Amino acid sequence: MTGQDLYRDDPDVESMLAFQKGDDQAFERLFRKYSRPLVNFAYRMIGNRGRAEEIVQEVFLEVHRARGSYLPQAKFSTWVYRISTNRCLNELRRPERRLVATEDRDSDGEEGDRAALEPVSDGPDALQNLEVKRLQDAVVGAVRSLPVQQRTAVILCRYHTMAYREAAEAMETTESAVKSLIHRATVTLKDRLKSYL
Amino acid sequence: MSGHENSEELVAFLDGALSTVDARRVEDHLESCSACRETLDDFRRTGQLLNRWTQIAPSPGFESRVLTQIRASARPRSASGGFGNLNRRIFGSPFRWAAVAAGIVLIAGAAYWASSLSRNEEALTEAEKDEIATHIDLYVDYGVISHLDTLQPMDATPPPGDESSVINTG
Repeated sequence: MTGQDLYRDDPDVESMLAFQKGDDQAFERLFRKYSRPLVNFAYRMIGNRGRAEEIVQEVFLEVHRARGSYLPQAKFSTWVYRISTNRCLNELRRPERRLVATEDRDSDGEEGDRAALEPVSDGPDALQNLEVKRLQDAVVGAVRSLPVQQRTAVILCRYHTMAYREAAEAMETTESAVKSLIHRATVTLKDRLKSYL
Repeated sequence: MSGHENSEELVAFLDGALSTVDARRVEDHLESCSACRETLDDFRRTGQLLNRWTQIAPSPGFESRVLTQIRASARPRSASGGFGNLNRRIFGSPFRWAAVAAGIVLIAGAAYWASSLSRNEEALTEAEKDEIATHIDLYVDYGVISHLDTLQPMDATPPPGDESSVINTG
């Protein structure tokens, strides 16, 4: 059994291979399955919804272009998260990006969260929503202030339920490196969020 | 077992990332160590707190918008029979050197053509000079003569008895 055969049981790899053979519906299935999780991944990484959506568009353009040359060498999810991770890291490295990073939380980036947590009435519900919002802000701030490699590992493992090995493949590093990153991030987060524990 | 469990092992234990043997060792230690149980509990609650960061929804129309753009960007390639494929076929094959040679021949041909054009331009300039000499009085009247440096060496003395072609410089 070759390395490529290992992944042919993955239904998403099957879809990608079907797309390669001309089934455009298979590509759309993959897009509809992964676009929302990937928007959330990119959004958590870079903090701006508009840019996160653009990154997901670029990711799927890359998937589309890979039609002719695609060889399954990993689970489809690992592959597509690897592309997304690289795109997000490139985005974070852009010099102009560093200048505007602090503004993101006040721009459209937080709209989704804000809309979901908008108080619906006065009284106890409003107070409770305010408390929930405060806690969420603390969590968002704590995760976003992690060094980028730790943040990436936390987002992949905690929000996208990846095993260390799979996150390591997506980050193009080793499983033991991810174990260490997750540990250091968890210790930091425990410290920063201790008043909520 | 002496001392406490390594906290990296505790986090990995929570994540189910330890081997069976290591997980059993941590479990055994936790049974007898309240400090490590407390640390483990803090890590667990920290992980639970992270769930407070809820998912966002993509903007309305995101999926259809992106799919439309991807289809549009893919169309020209497939509709044209694939210039990209043609490129790959040519430059990714043993014919690539033939393609490079053909390119050089094309460039050389273009250069020769450009130089012959330049020569024609010079010949045309000579013809223009003759034309100018014929109608030199008009150019003088309209002040063009001062810009025609090439005419300077010309002898403007009229042949005896021909008064019409005298240059009026006054």
